[in-house]
Amino acid sequence: MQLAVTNLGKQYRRDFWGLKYFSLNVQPGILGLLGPNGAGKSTFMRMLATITKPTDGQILWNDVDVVKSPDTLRAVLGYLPQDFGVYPNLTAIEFLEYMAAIKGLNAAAAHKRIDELLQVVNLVEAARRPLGGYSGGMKQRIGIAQALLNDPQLLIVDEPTVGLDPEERVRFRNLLSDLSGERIVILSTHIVSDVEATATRIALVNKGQLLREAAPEDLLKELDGKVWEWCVKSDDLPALKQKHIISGTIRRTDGVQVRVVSDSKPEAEAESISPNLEDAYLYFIGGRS
Amino acid sequence: MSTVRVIYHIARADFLERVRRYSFLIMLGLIVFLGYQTGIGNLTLELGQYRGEYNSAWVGAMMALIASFFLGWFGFYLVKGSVAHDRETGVGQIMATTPLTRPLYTFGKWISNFMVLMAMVTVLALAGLVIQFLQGESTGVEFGAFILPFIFIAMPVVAMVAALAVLFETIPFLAGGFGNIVYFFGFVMIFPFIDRMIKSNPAFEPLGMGLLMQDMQLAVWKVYPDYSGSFSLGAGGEVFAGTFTWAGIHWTVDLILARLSFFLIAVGLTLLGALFFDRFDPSRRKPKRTKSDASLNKPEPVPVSKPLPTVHLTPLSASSNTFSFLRLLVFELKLLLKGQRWWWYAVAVGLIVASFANTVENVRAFVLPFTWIWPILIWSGLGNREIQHNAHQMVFSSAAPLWRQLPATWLAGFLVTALTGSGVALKLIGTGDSIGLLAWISAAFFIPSFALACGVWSSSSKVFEIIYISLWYIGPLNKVDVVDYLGAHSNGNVLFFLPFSIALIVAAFIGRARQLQN
Repeated sequence: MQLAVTNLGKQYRRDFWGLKYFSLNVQPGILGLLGPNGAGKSTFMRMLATITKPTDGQILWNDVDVVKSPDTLRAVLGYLPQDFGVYPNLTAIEFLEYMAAIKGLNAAAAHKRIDELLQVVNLVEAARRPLGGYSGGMKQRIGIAQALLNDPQLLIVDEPTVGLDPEERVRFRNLLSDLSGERIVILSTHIVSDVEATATRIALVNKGQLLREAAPEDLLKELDGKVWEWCVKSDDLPALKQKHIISGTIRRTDGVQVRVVSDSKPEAEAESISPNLEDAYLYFIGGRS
Repeated sequence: MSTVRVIYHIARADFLERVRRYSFLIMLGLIVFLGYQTGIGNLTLELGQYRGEYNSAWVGAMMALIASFFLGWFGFYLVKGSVAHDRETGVGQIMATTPLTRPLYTFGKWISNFMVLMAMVTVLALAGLVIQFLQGESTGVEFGAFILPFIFIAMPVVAMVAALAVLFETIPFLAGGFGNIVYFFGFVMIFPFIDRMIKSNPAFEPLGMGLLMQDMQLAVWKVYPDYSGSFSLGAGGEVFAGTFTWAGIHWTVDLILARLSFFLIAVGLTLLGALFFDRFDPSRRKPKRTKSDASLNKPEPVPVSKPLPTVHLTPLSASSNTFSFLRLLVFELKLLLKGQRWWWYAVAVGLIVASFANTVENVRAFVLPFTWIWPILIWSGLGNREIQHNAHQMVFSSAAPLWRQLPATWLAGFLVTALTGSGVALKLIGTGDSIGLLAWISAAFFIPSFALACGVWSSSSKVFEIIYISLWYIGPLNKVDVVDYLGAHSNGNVLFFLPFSIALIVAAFIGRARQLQN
């Protein structure tokens, strides 16, 4: 099972590329796509999900060109779009049955799967209510359920935890980890903790380009000795923000404890600490708060 | 911020949002086509065997009348949807959290609707100038005579249409497809009223036809005493016995005030809309009654927290993936029919029963047309439902959507058509009316095919609703044989509609393939 993306590009206007020269080989496991808003994550995912046709490049699913024969991938694909709707007059069960029929599941398998999925997404009690009355989080969970209906080999989830309460978010992250064994899961988000908890590989994306793709521990290794912490006066904070990438602040009685990502020791009193993924994200994306 | 400034910005933002859409260009294209048809004489103002000389007054009046008639009838559909757009995009809820009042909002929407329609009137006015120049019968442009019919005939009409669009959008049961149908029949039903107004008080006749008619008739009688008095905006192609010179209406203060009074009515309708407007509060929309509502009366204690079950998904076996077209068809049918109220089914069954209780002539002429207008709001969802409900990304990324889901959608539409028309079909078979039966089959193919093609290509239900109801009104109801696709009064023009249905299905497939490869 392999997904190979070579020089993928999507041009929206004559002078604007949503994605350009994007190459990636994805193996079974969870690939977390991290990047700021507008980085090109959703464009990339829509192209993988056969919704959007690339302007340039190639997507190969087990050596089959997905652009030329999208149905090869669609048969084993589960996709949760970032922004989607549901048919308001159908109940959750009816909607999932409809999606199962479209995906080609037989009746017996669909019923069993829908029962399990409704438990997984914690919608058993609301399963016979029309979707029109669902809250945003409930609709999101229906979206997650439909993406998992056909036990997909490639699961693409775009901002899946948006609208979920903390408990449901943790459950979803656990579910993703459970599922990830023999399939490829591509998870796009700008919530670093979601990726930190689940991803086996991380791809950092910005301005339509792939900045780095690595295992989380390798990314953290690169940050060794580059994250610092010390206490500054509140008045000095604005000037510090101009000079360094600040990945965290904690207010204390004697000032503000700052966490800074920097190649060299920023101040004499700064102490080196262990990096986390948020530090790595800010370092590679180049953010300044 | 002053009230005027608030209204200006609501109207401006809404106007810019709409004119920057691709659909606005299509609308303008249709208006240019209308102007072109007038220019080549396919659409013209006729007073019996006579017509006016193509001077500024005549061209201005003719174009203003065309604007008044066509935008009066169809302009409503072009501008309706602005409030719904705010609701769908979520902008409405943001606006609802500001001090914006209901009247200001509806007033801003009215102005925006008015400006969109006036953009089309302007295009027709420019086309008028070109027509006058090309005809070359009178090259001097008299600005006042040319422009005043647009101001006092067309403008009040579009102001009313703009206001009605706002009013319909604020009344929940008129906001959707049902409102589109109500407006269509409402417009048709005002014609007898217009006839009476032309005779009694032409200045207050809404379309402005009465004023022009009286003034032009006097001009013709002066030159041609044998003139019969007829007046029509027709399909052209006539060989005119003569022309006359018409200098235009002398716009007195009384006439001007009478015409401008329609603006007051329009403002009244807009403010009436403010009364119904829910200010984007979903709780003010009447919820559909469901069985589970009963449980709302019995509040139960809510547990503070309960442990969530740990469930592991069972992997699916390879044999689980066996696509069943029949199963998909059942769900497509369910999707089409779900949400219809009991009375919808009662009327559908009533029409089937009526087929057996009438003579075959009456069944073809009356029962069949009403049988196959009743499911219009079901058909109009074909091909666009996925995009309308924003479920297209999930549906289109499923396996073989072009060859599985789209045929199932069409077939579900066909089955609804056939089932609702089954009473008529049995009557035709029972009486041996083979011509009628052939027309029935042709129509049963044509209707879902047309709906599917319109839905796929427009991504909206409105295009089918407007064109189908117009076709239904002109053909089966008004006995224009060439478009009598039901065979209500003819053989159903089967030789055209059957191949056309196939072309429509092909068009729907091409459209969907295009959507899939976007």
